[in-house]
Amino acid sequence: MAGRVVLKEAFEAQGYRIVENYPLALEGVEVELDGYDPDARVGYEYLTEEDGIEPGPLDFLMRQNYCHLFLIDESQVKDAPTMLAAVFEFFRTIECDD
Amino acid sequence: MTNHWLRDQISRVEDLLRQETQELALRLLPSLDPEVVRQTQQRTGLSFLGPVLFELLAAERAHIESRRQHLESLPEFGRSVSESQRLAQTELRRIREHQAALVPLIRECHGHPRFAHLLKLGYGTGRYATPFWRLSFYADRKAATELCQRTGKKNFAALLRDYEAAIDSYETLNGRLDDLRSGPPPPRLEWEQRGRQLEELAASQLLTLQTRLQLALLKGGPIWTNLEKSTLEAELARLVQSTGLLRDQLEELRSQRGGS
Repeated sequence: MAGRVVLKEAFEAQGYRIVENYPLALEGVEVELDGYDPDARVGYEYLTEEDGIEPGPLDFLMRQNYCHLFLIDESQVKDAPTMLAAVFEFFRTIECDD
Repeated sequence: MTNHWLRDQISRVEDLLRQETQELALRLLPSLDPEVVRQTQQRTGLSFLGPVLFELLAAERAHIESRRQHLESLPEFGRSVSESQRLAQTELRRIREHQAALVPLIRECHGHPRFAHLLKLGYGTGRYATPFWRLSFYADRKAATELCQRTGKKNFAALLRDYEAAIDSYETLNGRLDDLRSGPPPPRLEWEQRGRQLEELAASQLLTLQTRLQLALLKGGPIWTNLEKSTLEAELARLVQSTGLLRDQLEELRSQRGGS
């Protein structure tokens, strides 16, 4: 849970307007994302067994450049600074592509 | 100014600001000592550092402790990790042996080119409806006889019964194998992991709060006004000032990018 809070705050600190539990429907993919900025088309998703979301369709959206999603596909994140460093790298990558 | 130059400048200032805000967060919140947290809350105005914080931290600890207690109550808890792993290996071996015993019958059936066809038509059951005036009736009978000879079964109905039982057992054993492979770790192992988690909890909670504080500094807003109004030690005040200047610089660069 702390991880989700840190993620939301990290995206907001970067200037994104995050809507939590956003129902994304894009290019035939329908999924409820943990957080998403529909204007910037940037968001994040914690992939857990409970929510049953498969990464494949989200990878597809990313490869086609329909949106930018940061996927947390590790069950153990060492600590908040480690995750934040990865999120910063992600921002750098997507913002350089724009 | 080229976009490329501007982008490089933004990246450079972002990196500096991230370092400075991290440093500032560590200085503002060096520990989870209640007095330190209270002072940081007053200086920053951040609601997540309010009194409820300690209840949340305690709840996180209690959650782990309660899980450990639950694990202690399990009958398997008395077994050491190596004993649990040895038992699991024995069980895996036993299942594989059972499956191996079923394989010859299944392989004989699947290896015959007409078996799937006989199964589909319901040969050996009341469902089989091919009349004797068709060549296929005799071809089916020949295939059934061959299969019974190969597997040593008295007739096709008996073969079918044993085949279906073998398939059912094989699948059940597969399910058991999956459970063993993907099931929860032995209670003692999880108990030890949770113990380490408890030992590291205070440090991990502090890191999370420092990260949130850093993010609040990056986001901007009232935290900066609150810090500027606070009475800070000289060194801390200088850090707030230099970080604030970097933040202004970044905002300016970003607004240039937005306008370009």
